[in-house]
Amino acid sequence: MADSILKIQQVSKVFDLGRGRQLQAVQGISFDVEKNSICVLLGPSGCGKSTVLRMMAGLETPTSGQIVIGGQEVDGPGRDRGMIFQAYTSFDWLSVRKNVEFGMKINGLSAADRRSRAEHFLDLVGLTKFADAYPSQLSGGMRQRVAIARTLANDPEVLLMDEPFGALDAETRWLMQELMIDVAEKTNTTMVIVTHDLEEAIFLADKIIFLSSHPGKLKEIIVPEFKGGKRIPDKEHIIKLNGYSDMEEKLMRLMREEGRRDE
Amino acid sequence: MSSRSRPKRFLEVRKPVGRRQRVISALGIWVVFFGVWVFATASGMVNELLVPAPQQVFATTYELFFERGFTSDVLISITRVILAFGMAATIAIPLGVMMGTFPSIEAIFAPFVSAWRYLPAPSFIPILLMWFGTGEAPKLALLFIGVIFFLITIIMDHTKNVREELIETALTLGASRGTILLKVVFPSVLPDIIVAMRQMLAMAWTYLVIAEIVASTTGIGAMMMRARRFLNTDEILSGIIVIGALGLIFDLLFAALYRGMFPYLKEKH
Ligand SMILES: Nc1ncnc2c1ncn2[C@@H]1O[C@H](COP(=O)(O)OP(=O)(O)OP(=O)(O)O)[C@@H](O)[C@H]1O
Ligand SMILES: [Mg+2]
Repeated sequence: MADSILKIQQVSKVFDLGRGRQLQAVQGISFDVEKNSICVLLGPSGCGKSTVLRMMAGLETPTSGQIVIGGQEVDGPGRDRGMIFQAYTSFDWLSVRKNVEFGMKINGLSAADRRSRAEHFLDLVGLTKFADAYPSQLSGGMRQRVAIARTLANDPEVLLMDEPFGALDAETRWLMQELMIDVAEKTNTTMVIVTHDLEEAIFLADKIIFLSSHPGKLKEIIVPEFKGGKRIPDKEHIIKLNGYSDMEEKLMRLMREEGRRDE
Repeated sequence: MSSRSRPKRFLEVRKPVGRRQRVISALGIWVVFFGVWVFATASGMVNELLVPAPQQVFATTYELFFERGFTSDVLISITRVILAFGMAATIAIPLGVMMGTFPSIEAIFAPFVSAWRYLPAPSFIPILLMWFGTGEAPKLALLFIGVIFFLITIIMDHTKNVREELIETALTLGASRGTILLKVVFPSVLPDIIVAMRQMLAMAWTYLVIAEIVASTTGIGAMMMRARRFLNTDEILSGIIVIGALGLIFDLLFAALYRGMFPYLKEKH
């Protein structure tokens, strides 16, 4: 595969809970994220997926180890690593278009450039018709599209997403998953996506980083070989592929092992 | 004929009432109120000197405005409220937002501000009179003290409630601290600030009346105290009604301001 853009090197995170108590959330994790790939962080609840992602974003600092992006050590948040959360993050006081332009505006792009890039990314996520609406007038799925367009329009090196579709109903969720494949193919954006949904992981991932819990350690790196090195654009299609159910079974087994260890 | 529907009873648990019933009920209670008042005065049950008839109070109100220059008193009172409240808001908004955004600023001011909230503003009247005499300053100071510390605290609390994800999103879009403060935190808390101001303005009116009753020769409260000396109860009641009406007008203005400023918010207030 291509060069790696993000390197996670022996990263650990210990949270200080106060009164001398500490919690090791992540322990000695290392992996690489290849340029233009979709990397999925999967694992049981509480295994430290969000913590790893937040350290990549620079919103948390590793207790030890380091995270390197494009040869530079991550030190705080920056526009090269755009992040999308499960909770809605639209700026309610701005129209959809102004939301999408927000990042570009604070980074000093000219009004004309902002406008045309916003048009482009609104079109990409299918929101052109809603450009002048306020986010509060949109459905949950559409609001996440706004967040995706806003982040992409800001031209990040990596798109970090923490259970971005976790709050959506099943149908909207798989539409959004298909949208992400489409976006990845059209924009060549590198993505790191956290989920605990097995189907979502298999559908989206070029590579799955499976974490085990308490403390969060790297359990296994899984490449869904059955896709034959391609991305499958729709969900009906992928479940019919040879090897899909084996993959699902394997991930289920890993999940279950983790669940049992917790008891 | 909708046969099966049960006859509607008057007391239904949490079943909304229709518009017609609401209007009739609202008018009804006021009709009863004025009815009792008119009856009590007309029948001589109460001393006319202490409780003038409502029609007389309204006549007096008209007279006060159009023949006796009451308008200037009302304008003075309004000016005092707007001046003092404006000064308080000018300090409270930036300070409250800063305190809610930067814990280091909160650490400095919060212990100070919260202590003042426990000191009832009217208890400062004697010392304010000693310091500032009887001019405008002590009245403005009373209103200012009465409002500002609550305003700061409420705005700070609302600012702290701005969702972390919004701030973190802005950070990962490349926002600086200043951008976060001005372009994310402030617009996001602004509707709550307007609501807080609307509530505190009602409190400002309360302090205004206290200030004008205790130590003033001008303004609505002063007019009422003058009327008391001449046993003009109708004028006192007029004053009360005017203060109530002004409170209502300002409240409606703020409600309109809210709707105008925040078209993106669904009807809430
Ligand atoms: N800011 C924090 N302070 C203290 N402990 C934290 C903090 N953030 C996370 N933790 C703890 O670290 C561990 C890992 O949390 P994290 O949110 O990364 O897990 P997760 O895999 O994302 O879980 P989920 O699937 O529930 O989102 C948990 O035990 C959590 O309680
Ligand atoms: Mg999480």
